[in-house]
Amino acid sequence: MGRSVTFIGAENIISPLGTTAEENYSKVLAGQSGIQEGRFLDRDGDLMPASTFPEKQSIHKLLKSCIEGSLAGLNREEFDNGRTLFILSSTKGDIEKLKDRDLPAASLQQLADQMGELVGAGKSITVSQACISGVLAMIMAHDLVVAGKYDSVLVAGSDLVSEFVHAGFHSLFAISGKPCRPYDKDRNGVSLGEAAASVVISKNASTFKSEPLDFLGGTSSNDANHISGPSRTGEGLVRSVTKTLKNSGLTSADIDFINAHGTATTFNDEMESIAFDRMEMNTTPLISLKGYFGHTLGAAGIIETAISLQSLRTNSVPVNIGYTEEGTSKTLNIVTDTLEKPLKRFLKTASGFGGCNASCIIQQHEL
Amino acid sequence: MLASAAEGCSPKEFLREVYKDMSIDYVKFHKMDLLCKIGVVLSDALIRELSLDQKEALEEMAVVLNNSTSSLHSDVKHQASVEEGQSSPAIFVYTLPNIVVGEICIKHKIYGENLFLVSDAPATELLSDYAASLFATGKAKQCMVGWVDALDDKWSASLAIIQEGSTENSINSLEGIFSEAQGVLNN
Repeated sequence: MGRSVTFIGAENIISPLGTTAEENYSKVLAGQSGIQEGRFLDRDGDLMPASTFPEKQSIHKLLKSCIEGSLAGLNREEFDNGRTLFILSSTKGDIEKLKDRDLPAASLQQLADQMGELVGAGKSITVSQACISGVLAMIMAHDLVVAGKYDSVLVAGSDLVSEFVHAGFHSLFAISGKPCRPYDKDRNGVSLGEAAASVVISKNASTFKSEPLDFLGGTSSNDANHISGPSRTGEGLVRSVTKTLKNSGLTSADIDFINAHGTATTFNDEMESIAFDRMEMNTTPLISLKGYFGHTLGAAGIIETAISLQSLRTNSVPVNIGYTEEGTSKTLNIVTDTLEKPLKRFLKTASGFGGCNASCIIQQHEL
Repeated sequence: MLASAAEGCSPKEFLREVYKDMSIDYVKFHKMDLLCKIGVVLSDALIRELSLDQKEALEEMAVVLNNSTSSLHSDVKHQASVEEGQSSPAIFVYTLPNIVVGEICIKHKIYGENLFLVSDAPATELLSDYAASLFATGKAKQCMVGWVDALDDKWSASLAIIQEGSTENSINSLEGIFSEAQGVLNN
């Protein structure tokens, strides 16, 4: 199949680091992390590092502010043409409501419907596919726009740091006692983070007030191996990236940098090194942004893509914070000094529980 | 092609019967949560009915599922165990709705496209549009599509495998598939 292009832009991020994509990016470039020690008190009475807001957040308000920021970047007469879809990307939504056993309030679709109304979308839906939710939601948006089903799709993702998720990761021994260090020899698990991020994918460049970038879409693939551990061979990730490159008519040499998943668990980062080695992408500059935002679950794919959109806009790639020494069996070209050079395109990847993997490619407008 | 099971018997009764009748014999099955058990049983029934050629192409099949309650069935159990200070990985790993997609892929060595959608009622039009786009972009030649919803003793499930170019791939036929399915949270 030939390459299909849609336009992506109007990106917004609300995280402990800032309230716009630009502000978040300037903090990232300055090497500032949202993860702080002692932010989350777990059941054992230990204070764990996390990237959290100073005040407890309502996921509704957080998403609403984030979406309003994206909407402000659109030519509304183009966007509001009745052919729009809203996609929520979230793993747990308002899961704290389970403390009161209020199941309807914890429902993901109730949250999606409220946000879809705010967007003025004709339809709203939730993608809940573990840690690949954000990347997969953007791929779905692209495919539906290319198929002519919608003209524009607003994709917004959010998850909050909750006792529910923290205790679960803790039971898997997957939480790091120190701020996470993706790909480093001394990495010891994830740091959780909370944030909201949103992007718009549209058939027309004129939907956006400022110049959008070109979205070439992507693919997903299952490892068919294990529900809570990545494949030892990186099978699903290799399959997804291979399909994404092929569908875009590109080869691995055409990718300027990789914005990878890099959760900082021993197994995930090792799996990624094996996968990128198999695809001969060891020399392609690679970063994980988890060291800045923590693992924001359903928001991760969108927040990380929004940051790399800034990279394309400013021709710079930030360093992989937390990395000092090689810690994977296969060598990767981890970015340790800010890259400043003309950038054409990047590959975004994500992998998650349930053995799922996704990847997509974004490039400069009209290359 | 269609496998479906609506209310009328408790999920445990249904699963016990079908597991035995179909001689599934899969050790991992007993560790799964309710959502995964229902998905695995129904997908097994469908896959057994595929032609030899279709079975050989299983590796590339897309699995696109939908429900209304996400993983709330296991979420409630995990939340209770957290409050007791005894959270267990055996429950936590099922607190994501797409785990059922993963279980189906593992059992049948399916490496294709994955998607899990949450909506109040079956998202028939979106599922149909998405499956059509998977065929049109060459990402899949066959697609398992369906609804798997379970919360306590309420459940509802309908699954189908649609083939590229088949006339079954239309909103009308998907509506038929989903006519028995409904969200279990608010009814």
